[in-house]
Amino acid sequence: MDKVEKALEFTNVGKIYRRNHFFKTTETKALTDFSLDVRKGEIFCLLGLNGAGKTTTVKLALNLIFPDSGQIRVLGEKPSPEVISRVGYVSESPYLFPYLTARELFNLMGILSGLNAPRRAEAIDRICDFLSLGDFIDKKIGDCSKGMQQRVLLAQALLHDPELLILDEPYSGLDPVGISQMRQYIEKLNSEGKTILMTSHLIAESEKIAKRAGILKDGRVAKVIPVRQGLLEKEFLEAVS
Amino acid sequence: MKAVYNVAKYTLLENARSKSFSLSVVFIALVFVSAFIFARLSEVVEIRAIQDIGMGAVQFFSFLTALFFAVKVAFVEGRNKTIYLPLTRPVKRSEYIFGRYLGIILSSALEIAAMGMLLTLLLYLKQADFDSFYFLSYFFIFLKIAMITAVTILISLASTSQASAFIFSFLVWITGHSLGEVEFLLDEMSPAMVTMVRIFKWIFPNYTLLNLADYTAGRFMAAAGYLPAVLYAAFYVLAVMWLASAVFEKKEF
Amino acid sequence: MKLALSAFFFIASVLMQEQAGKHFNFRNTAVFSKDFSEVARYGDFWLVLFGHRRIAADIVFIQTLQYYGSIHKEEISAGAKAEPGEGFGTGLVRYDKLFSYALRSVRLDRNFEYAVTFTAAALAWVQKRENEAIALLTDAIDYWEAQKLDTPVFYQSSLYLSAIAVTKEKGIAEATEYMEKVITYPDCPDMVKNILGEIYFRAKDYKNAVRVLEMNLDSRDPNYREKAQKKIEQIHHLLISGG
Repeated sequence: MDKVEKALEFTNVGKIYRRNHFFKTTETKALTDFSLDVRKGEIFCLLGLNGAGKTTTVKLALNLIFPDSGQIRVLGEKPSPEVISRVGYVSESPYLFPYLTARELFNLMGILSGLNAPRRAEAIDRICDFLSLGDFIDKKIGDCSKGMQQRVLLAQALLHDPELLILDEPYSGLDPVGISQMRQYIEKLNSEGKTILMTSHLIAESEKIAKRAGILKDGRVAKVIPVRQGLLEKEFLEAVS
Repeated sequence: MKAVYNVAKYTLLENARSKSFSLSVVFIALVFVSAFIFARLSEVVEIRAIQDIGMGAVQFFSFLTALFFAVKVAFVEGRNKTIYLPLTRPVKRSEYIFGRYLGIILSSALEIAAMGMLLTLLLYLKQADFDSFYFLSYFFIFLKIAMITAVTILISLASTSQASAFIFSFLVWITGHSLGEVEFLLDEMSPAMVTMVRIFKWIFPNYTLLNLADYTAGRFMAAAGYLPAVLYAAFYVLAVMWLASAVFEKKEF
Repeated sequence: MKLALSAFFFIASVLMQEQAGKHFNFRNTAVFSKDFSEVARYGDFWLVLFGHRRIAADIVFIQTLQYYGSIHKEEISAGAKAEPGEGFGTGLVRYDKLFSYALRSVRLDRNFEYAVTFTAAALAWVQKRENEAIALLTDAIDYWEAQKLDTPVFYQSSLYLSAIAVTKEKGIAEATEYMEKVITYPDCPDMVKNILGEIYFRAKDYKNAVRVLEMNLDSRDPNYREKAQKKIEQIHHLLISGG
């Protein structure tokens, strides 16, 4: 399989978290000899217990943290501000700017993504239609409900029409209706050709949309499997036990 | 530069809407209360007292709000992960941190201007005389705030807790004002201590040169010293911010 | 690159700091000096460390005015005669701490001339303690002379010093020449105008008495406004009755 078909590639990546406190350094191994790839156009789900290394994997891909060893390729290139312009990221919780309105946030993120005014306006209209944001767009984010904030978070990730979308626990905090809606959004985006990497604790939900799943254990890839209905939970429990 | 400008613009917008500016309301209350308390004193002392306490309050409250915003940008947003949004954009980290800094000091400038206008109005109603030294004092307060904001951002990026960031920034503020006092002891110090004091004066912001509000016109600094003092503040800010930018570049979130 | 830029601007800031420092020509009484520590209190240190010397001096002077404006039973002189109508106090109270309050004020902020002149006037012409007044004025004037500035400062204090020295040697009535110069300053305390007016009144120089007392008719202190009004009316009656 040649490089261009891989949206994301980790090769023998190691990551150690070092915490300095009163001249004492504590080291925690987050990833060890970690290798994984996500193919273009697929929905790939990263599963694992708490502390398995899911969020670390996501942060490494986004250049928020840096590997101690190994190689990472995002859309065929080393993670950098330039390649990140083709990636959209939705964090686990809506870590947004509470005093800005959604429209102001979109404008700021659009500018930082290099979109000019006409493109930004078009993108905002498109996203608002897609996610049914309506009048909420002019409300301060801090005053919006959790569900609406989650949609705003997804909207800002889609502004610049990214090729790769990384969703960290996209169903977190959502009610069943919200989860169903989010699932529909993800499927629609994938049908438009976007590659989706998502992390999740909800195995049943992951089973419904993911093509492949990677199961992490203690900072390593325990297994990567094609997702088959009704079997993912069994595979997961076997891998992590 | 576009990223710097836009980050600054939205930082200013965010800060203007935040509750921290309500500290200014406390200032307004303080100034009016002091005006009533001092009304019975002779005219000379009343105007001096209102001006001194008013300017001291402008400086102190703008210091507190700048501290709050700087710690929020450099520490709190990293902790609560709000910083993920801009950092997962194709914007250089240095552009982001400079933009945030610019937004904070613009917010401080507006705050100082607003409080200053109110104080000036009150003094005008009390028939005080104004000279260029009075207005220059506000500009020098702004320079001091610009310096401490840069230092606080650097400290916050390196801190492991919000409390330590606040405490160290407070200590820097106090040290900056005390450095001029330490000079008195230089004659009695060993050469090694003198060198250490000199190095401290270079590293810590030297507010003795900028504390215009605490002096009287014509008895502070010769006019030829004003431009070097302003340039000192500007270069110091740039030195600290480039260092903060280097730290921010390597920081993991 | 970023570290290099930081180093470059740091060096530039050091150079500018040294350049600005060359033109920084004023020093207040240092916090670590004997002069400061012998008069200052705990709160004064904190205000100075936060860069608010003037506020510290203002607070001390306001405390001085509060102290001087109230009767302290423990400071009432035994067998003292009440001398109504002369100066601010009743003449009964010693105000032992007046000198130390003023000294603290001026050592916190060497620019605070009003604290010096007001307290010197009260010490010399109301409390009859010319030596303390002279010590206060000398402390203030000598400090500025040691600064070697191009333009003289605290000129008013020099006038007060001359007036009080003459008062001490020859009596208050002989000090009018210097007091006349002092009252031309816009920040001259109303107390001094009141005292000078009283001197002229006792010397039956009613024209000058009225001229000086009229300056207090728009005083912020109702006490001095009332005194001036009453005195002028008294002079008016005396002139009408041929007294």
